[in-house]
Amino acid sequence: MNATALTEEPAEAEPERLLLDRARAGDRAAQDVLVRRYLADVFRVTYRLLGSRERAEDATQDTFVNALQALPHFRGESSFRTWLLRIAGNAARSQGRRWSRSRETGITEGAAEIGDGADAGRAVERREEAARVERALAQLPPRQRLAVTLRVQQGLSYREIAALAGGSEGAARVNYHLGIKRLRELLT
Amino acid sequence: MTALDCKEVRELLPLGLAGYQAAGVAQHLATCPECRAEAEVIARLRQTAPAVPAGLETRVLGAVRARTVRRTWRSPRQLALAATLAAAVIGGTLLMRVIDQGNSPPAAADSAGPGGQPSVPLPVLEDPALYGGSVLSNLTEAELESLLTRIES
Repeated sequence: MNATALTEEPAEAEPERLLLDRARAGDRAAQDVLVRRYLADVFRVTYRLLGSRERAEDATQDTFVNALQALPHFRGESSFRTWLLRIAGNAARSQGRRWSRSRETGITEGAAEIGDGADAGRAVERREEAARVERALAQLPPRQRLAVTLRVQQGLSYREIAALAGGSEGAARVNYHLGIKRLRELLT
Repeated sequence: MTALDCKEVRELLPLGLAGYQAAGVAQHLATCPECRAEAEVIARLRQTAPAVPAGLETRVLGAVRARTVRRTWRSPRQLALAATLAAAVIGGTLLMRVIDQGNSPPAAADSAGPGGQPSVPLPVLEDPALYGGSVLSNLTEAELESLLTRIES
C-alpha cells in the first residue's frame, strides 16, 4: 500500500481552499472532487436558465471545462460557488437559447426527472406533483420563475440571482416575492 | 427570543434554517396562516427540484480530463480569424452608435445624457413590462421597498 498516495488523495469533505490550491496545481483528483461537489448546483442552474435538459447538460460540461481552465485566475474575491455559477450563466447563454423562450420544455422535462424510487405508486405521485409544480412555475414570468427556483431550490442569495439573471439585488428580491405570491395562488 | 414578523419569516423560509431561527419561524407559522401557506408552497418547490441526469458526472469528468486536447484545437490561424471578426463587429457597432446618435431627436438625446436622471414612474404590479425585469432594474432601493410592501400587503 502506498501511504503517500493515500494522504494525498483529497477527501470529499476537504476544506475548499486546500482543494482549490490542489486543483489549481493540476491535481486531477482534486478537480474531480470539485466537479462532484458542484455538479448538481451547476446542472440545476443551467437547466433553469435554458429549460432544456440536453442543453443544460452541455452547458454543465462547458462550465466545468471553462472553470478549471480559468482556475489560476480565480482570486477568491467571491466564493468559488458564486464564481462557478457566474461561469455557468455564461455557458448557458452561449448555448444560444434565451431562458425566456423555455417554458414548455421546462414542464415536461422537469417532471420526467422525478421519481426513480422503488415504490412505483409513490413514484407516480411524485411525478404528478412535480408536473403540477412545474406547470405552475411555467405560468410565471421568466425572471420571477428564475428568482423563485434559484432561491428556493438552489439557496442562492439575491446577489447571486442578480448576477445570473441580470438586474439588481432589489429587483431579484421583488421578482422572488412576486413569484411566490403568484405560486401560492396557483398551487393552493 | 424576539418574535419574528411576517416580513422576516418570508425572507427566512427559502433558506431552510436550523437552530433558534427555525424555532422563531415555527412559532410564527403556528399562528400565521398566510406565512404557513407560503411555507407549504416552498416545501413543495424544494421537493420537486430536478434531479441530475444519470451519466452526467461521468461525462463531465471525461470532458475535464480531455480539456487540454480541446485547447490545442484552437490554432493560431483560427484565433487570428476570430480576432479579425471581433474587430469588425466592434467597429460596426461603434459606427452604428455614431449614426444613431446623429439621427436621435433632441428629447431622446436629453434622456440619455449623463447629467439627467430619467424619471421612472413606479410600475403597477400588473404592468407586463415588470415581467421582463428591465423596469425593476431602473428602480431605486426605496421604490423597490415600496413595491415589496405592496406585494406583502
